Amino acid sequence: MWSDNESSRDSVVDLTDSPPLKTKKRKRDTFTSKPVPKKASSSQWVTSAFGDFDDFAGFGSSMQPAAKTKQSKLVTKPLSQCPPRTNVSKRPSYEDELWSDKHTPKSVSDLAVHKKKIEELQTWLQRHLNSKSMRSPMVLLTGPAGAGKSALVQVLAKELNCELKEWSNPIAAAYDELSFLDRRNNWSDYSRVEGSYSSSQLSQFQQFLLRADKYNSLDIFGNGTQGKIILVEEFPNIVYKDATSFHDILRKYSKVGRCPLIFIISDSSSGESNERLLFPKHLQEELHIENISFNPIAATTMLKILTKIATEEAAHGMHKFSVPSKAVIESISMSSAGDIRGAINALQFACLKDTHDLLPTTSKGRQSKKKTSGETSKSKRAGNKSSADSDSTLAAIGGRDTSLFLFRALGKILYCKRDDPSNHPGLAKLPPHLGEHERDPLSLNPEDVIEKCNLSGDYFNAYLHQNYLEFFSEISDVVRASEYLSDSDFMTFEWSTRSILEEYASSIATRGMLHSNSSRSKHSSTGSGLGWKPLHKPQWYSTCKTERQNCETARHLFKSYACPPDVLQTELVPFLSLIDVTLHDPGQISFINEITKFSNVKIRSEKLDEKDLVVDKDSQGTGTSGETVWSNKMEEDNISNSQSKVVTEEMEEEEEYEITEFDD
Amino acid sequence: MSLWVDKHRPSSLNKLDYHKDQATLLKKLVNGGDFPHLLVYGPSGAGKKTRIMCLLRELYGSGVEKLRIEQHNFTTPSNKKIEISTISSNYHIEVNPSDVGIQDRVVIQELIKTVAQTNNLDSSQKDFKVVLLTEVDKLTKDAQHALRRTMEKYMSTCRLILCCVSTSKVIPAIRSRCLGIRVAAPSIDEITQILQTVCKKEGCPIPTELAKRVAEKSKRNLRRALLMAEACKVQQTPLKPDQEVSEPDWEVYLRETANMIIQQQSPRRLLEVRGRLYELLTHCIPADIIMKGLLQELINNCDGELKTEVVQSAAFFQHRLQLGQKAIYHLEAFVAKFMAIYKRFMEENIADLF
Repeated sequence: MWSDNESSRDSVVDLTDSPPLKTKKRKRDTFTSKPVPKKASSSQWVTSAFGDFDDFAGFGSSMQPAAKTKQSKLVTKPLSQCPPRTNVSKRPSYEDELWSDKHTPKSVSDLAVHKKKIEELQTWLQRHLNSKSMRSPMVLLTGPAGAGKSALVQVLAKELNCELKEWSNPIAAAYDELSFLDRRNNWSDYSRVEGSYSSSQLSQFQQFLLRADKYNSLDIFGNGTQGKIILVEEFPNIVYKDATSFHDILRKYSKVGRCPLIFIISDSSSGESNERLLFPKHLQEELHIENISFNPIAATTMLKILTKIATEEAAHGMHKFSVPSKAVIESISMSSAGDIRGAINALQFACLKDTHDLLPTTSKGRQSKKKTSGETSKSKRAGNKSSADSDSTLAAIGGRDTSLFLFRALGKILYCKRDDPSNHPGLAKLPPHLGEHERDPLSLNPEDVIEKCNLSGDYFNAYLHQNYLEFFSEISDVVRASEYLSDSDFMTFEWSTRSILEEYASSIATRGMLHSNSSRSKHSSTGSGLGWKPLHKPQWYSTCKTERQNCETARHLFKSYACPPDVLQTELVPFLSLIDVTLHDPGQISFINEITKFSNVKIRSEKLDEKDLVVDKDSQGTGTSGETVWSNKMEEDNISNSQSKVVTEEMEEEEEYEITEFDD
Repeated sequence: MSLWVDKHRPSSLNKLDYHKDQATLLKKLVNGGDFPHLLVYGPSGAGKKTRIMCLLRELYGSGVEKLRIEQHNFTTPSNKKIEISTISSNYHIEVNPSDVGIQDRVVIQELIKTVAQTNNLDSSQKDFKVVLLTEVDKLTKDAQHALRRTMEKYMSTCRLILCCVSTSKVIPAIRSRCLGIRVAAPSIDEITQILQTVCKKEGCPIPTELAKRVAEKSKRNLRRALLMAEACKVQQTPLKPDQEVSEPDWEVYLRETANMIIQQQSPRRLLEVRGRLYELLTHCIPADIIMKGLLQELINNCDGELKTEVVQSAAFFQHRLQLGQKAIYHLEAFVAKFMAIYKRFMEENIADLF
């Protein structure tokens, strides 16, 4: 009762209270809505705090009549920062085009590609455009990215007055593998799947080839072309999964097609090359596909072209900038590793950096900014003068990472250049009893060298191991060096910590190698007496590979003897060769002959060439078949070892699980 | 024509040439009609397998000698197909699970499961089968634990005979579940005797001197001794006492390599030695055997005081060889170390002379 009363009283209070509240709110509303014009004035006050605003206010007042447009201009001006200067305003404030696109070669003379390659393709095209042979001509261009393959095709097409038809992957292709598989064998099926016009990329590709070959494009513009060239630079994605269907298409085209078909594949620096997948050797022979491979652009040609572009841009380009010094261009071309497209882009970027100080600025803030940018560019120029720095500064801009060839990296470690200690005043001397470890300071950082040569520490160690002996003269030094190598391998045995320790391991190996070569402990001794020595590729990986193959074949061939592998390899097989047991399997006989023959001739490993970029890839390629399996095996082994520890701890749980497994 | 080793292998426990007390014990064990799981261990070429086969014959009769090679396929939980070949009769199956590397656990579980689950219909036979696992010490820990569990579970339908060189790598849980049988290597005299009887059976009696030399060369490994004797016979038909005992090529090659190391100690020579080590490795000679062989050859040329130092460094690098991945680093480091030790020793000696 009472509470009811209370509540009712409350409600009464509420009722009586609420109206005044509302009115208050309303009052506030009206109050706030009042000073709107005032706000406008205050906003004026606020904006005037910016340095620019005074200018704009003055600017605005002079342009009173066009009030509406003025407003928008006020906003856009400070953003675009476009100065009202007549001579610069002709140039747009930013570039909408990459220089590499803008300066695409227009004629054969512009091309950076080697003349022989140009001729090769040109004669090929001319021969096949005119001939009426039944076989459709195909050519495959390979080479590293930015070697000018596409540019060459485009220029030649223009030169020969041909129409260039290029395949590009359709974007919205709703891909249906089932329907694709069904229709793969029908050459001209229109692929109308359940009312929709979706068709597989591959059948579209097929149709493209057919139509591009058959039908001429409408001659609307009246530039009568003489022939057609089909260019395929981009391959339907499915092709990588299932190369055989692609090969079928090519075979069909070779029967039907008339116009020259050009394929372009860029070499990839790592992993399996697409070339081998898409155009295996047997297919190339079967369809008479010619293969023209391109080399990276030569440094001199690159230099010429970059200088030409730079001067041209400086004179007529978007910005005004001083032509970069020769050293800058040189280092760009060096760091690009023969990739002309990348080099031009790097050049553009490098030149962009210089543009700021040429822009006039009106405000104080801009002024300070300009100053800093000016400083940086100045310091950069200063750095370029001492060419040692230019490499690192510009490599940061747009260089490729392939900065150090393996050959040179190995040379750096093995020849072990040391500095004159007088250049390092703060150097502490070792106490006399450690005198034998006294070494002049190194002129290089071993970790840098390893990092730059793009090899894993493991591989680098293998290369070092293969070559270090030639550089040592004292056996006591060799002992220490070989112990360091052994240490480095020992460090990485644990599977779980290998990825972390690998760097340290290679560091130990390289530094140990550098230190233990006592004949090169002084800077004066470097470079004397050694002369040039050939470097070799590591034998270890191939050895491992053949060993495993041999073990495997031994196991299969002598299955019937049923003895463990060790006994088989060290006792049974060697003795079988001495005993005239009649072997029934010719495989066994030949294997025994092979396995028991020891050559006393020293097998020399493959030599490593200077500039051997392929070496790296190649050794990994050949290595990978052996090495990955091997390392996988090792890793799996280690996994099992490390797991077994865990397993012992969790044995009880696992047993439970296994019981259920057995019971079913 | 099969090898002497296989041809003259004793087929019953009564015919064994040595460890006769053990043979009678084994016979008694089997005559009881049943036996526990066995763990047979001993050095290579001591006759472990021979004894196991004799035991099985004693147990099942001559039926165990009808052997067939089978190929078994298994799928791992990670859907990897593995293949392993087994040798089996109606009563037993022999398998070397370490052939499949780290997937040995799957082999052990699946194989024993399939064997144990198929019962013999013929009631006249024993109601258990035998699974013979070789190289148990090479099994992963994982597989050994799986084995332990399997052993208990299928005790009613199958017996396991495990065969290994050393029990140190077999987990204690397995060791305690098995009856351990040690097969020691035969003595030189025993081998000499066996060689003489075998040769007599082959119709080309072997002079005692030669038999003795062969036995010594074989390092108490009977299989090796028989193979060597047969090789001697091939070399020269009426066996002469002063005949040279032929050795496997790789051992000759290894000895030459060791001599090269002794002759000269220089980085250039080390480079040549490395080439030879690679050659040995490609010929399927395991790295640890190379290390052992090298040490044995090298130590012959060492003075007493050097021996400890050399053996110590060999042990050091052998350990690393086991753990590491790149055997050649460690082999080479050992060779370099030996060269340094030996060179130092020689120089000191020459200095003493003057």
